[in-house]
This record gives sequence, structure tokens and C-alpha cells, in this order.
Amino acid sequence: MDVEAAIRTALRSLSAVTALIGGSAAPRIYPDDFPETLKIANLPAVCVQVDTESRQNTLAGTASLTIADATLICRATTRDGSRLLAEAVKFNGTAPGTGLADYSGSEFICWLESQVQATTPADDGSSRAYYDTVLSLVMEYNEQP
Amino acid sequence: MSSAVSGLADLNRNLSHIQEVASKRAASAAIGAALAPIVKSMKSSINGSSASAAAKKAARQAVGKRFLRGGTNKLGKVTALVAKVGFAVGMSGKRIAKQSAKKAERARPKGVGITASNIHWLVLGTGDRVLTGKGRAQFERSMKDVPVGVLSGHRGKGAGHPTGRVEPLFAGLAPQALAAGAAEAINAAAAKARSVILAEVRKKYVKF
Repeated sequence: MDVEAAIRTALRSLSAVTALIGGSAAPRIYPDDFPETLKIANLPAVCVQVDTESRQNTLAGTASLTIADATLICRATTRDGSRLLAEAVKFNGTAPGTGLADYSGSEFICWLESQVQATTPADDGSSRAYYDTVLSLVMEYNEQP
Repeated sequence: MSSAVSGLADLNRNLSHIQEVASKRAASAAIGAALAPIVKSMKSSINGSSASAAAKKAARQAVGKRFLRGGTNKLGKVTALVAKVGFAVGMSGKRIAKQSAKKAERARPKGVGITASNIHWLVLGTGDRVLTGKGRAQFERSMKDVPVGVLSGHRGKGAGHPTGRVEPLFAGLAPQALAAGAAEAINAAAAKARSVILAEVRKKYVKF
């Protein structure tokens, strides 16, 4: 299973998220890294990164359960904008809601492990910075052997 | 009227088992359990840094832990207890080599990608680097199947061409993460020690 694609699909199904980052046709959700061509005008956006995927073992051999660490970077031009997007990702509008903070879908389940604020230099020659809210998720899903 | 106290021998045996065996098991399990919150704290510190998203991902992937219980094996060899958290820790050379080869393949035609084998470039930074003759030769060998036109915009023409420097992005992060995660690590260690001692007591408990 392409777990990164599964997260992106799940994000596209969250109406509070798509209201901020664009509709289901072309939402600003990127795998691995934000594209260099991404302009400030096009923020906020989300970057999905899967750090590790560990297949769980049993005495009988390799099981199908896989646990993955995923990181979502919610980037905006303001701190409030970044946090607003992170809240949408976590709760999809209402707490506890149907967001990824405690998600149970047909392909995977996941929960929020930690949340950190960060700033990243815009790297365009100016002194501007992007505001990031970084969400660390733990995911569980079945990977057929 | 008189009463006799029995079971003292069993009680003594249980207490000395806890003192001699269970305490060691509990201590080593507790130290092992304390590592996970520090790993988590390191990853959080990486996320909180101002590095690029790609650098953060590479750094998070390179964080690991290693725990060796230590003791004396059947041949009498004494090994020390090792509890370590950090960049490029707890990964076998084979796994690192596999990861590096995969990343280098993805990074072609430019760069080698960042894995546990070269994460120190990002953590500590590098000096000014230049293309060496050997590096150039290796690069040309790896590019032998790539059409010449694709290479025309590539850096440098030969040995000595500057390839820039890497500024330290995560310097001092490990001690900072250790301080941040210390309370959680101690709590995890205490909880683990308690559960191991309880398990040991239940195992050896003799009904009087």
C-alpha cells in the first residue's frame, strides 16, 4: 500500500482542509517536500512525509500489520494560518471530529503523537519566513505479504 | 494460647530474589524504556528547527536508539550496558548501506542523498568542499549512460571545482532533546521498572 497516497486521499476527504488548501481537483498537498515553484500566494499548503514503515513480526513470521511514522507540515504565511490549517487537519472542523488526530478509515488508522511549531526561511532572498505547524502521526495499516 | 509464624523461608527467598535478580532486570528494562521518549523528543526538536522539510525528513529517519543489556555470556565475556540515542545510532552497516544506495539512486544525477552514513553533514556542517579527481571519475562512470546534453548544466568541469559548504542545521540538538525529554524518560523508566518488579514478584510469589 502506498501509505503516503492514502494520507493524501484522506486529507482530500476532509472538508475543513480542502476549504483552506483548495478543492478536491487540485488541493495543495505535496509528498516529501514543498515544490520549489510554490509561491507565497499559493499558501497554505500541506506536505506529507512518511519517515518509517515497520512491518510487525510474530512467532509465525511476518505479520501484515505495519506501523508507520508520518509527518505532516502545515505551512502558511502567518502563524495563525498555519495553526488553523493544523487544526483542520487534526479535527476537520469539530473537536474531536473526524480529522487525522484520531482517524479510523478503511485503509488505515492513525493518531496524533506530537505537534511542534517552526519557522522556515522563505529562501527567496528576503527575510520572510514560512510558518509551519508540524504534526507527527503514528499510523497502523495492513500490508498484504 | 500461642501462634506460629510460618513461611518465613519463602518470604526471605522472595525478597532476596527481588534484591538480586529482579532489581537488575527492572533497572535494565527501565533504561531501555527511557530511550523511546528521548527519540521522540529528538524528532520533535528536529521538527521545531528551521531546516528545510527535506532535511528534517532525512534527519528524522537517521535518528535511532540502541540498547544492549550487558552482562556476562556463557564464555565469560563481560559486556557493558549500552543505552544510546542519536543520529545514525542503532542501524546496522548493512541497513545503512542499503538505504544509502537507494537514496543515491533517487538523487541521480546530482548528489547522493542524506542517510545515516552522511547525516553528520547536516548535523555538524562541512567545510568548503571541492570536487576531487576521484569524485569526478566516479561521477563520470555513474553517468556513462546519461546523454551528454543532460550533463551540460552540471556543476564544474573537473577536480578542484568548488561544490559549496553545508551549514550545521542540527548542531547541539541531541543534548537539547535529552533535556526536553528527560521528565518523560524518567516517567517511562519508573513505569517500566514498576511493571517489571510486579511481574517478578508475581512469578515468584508463594502462597503460604
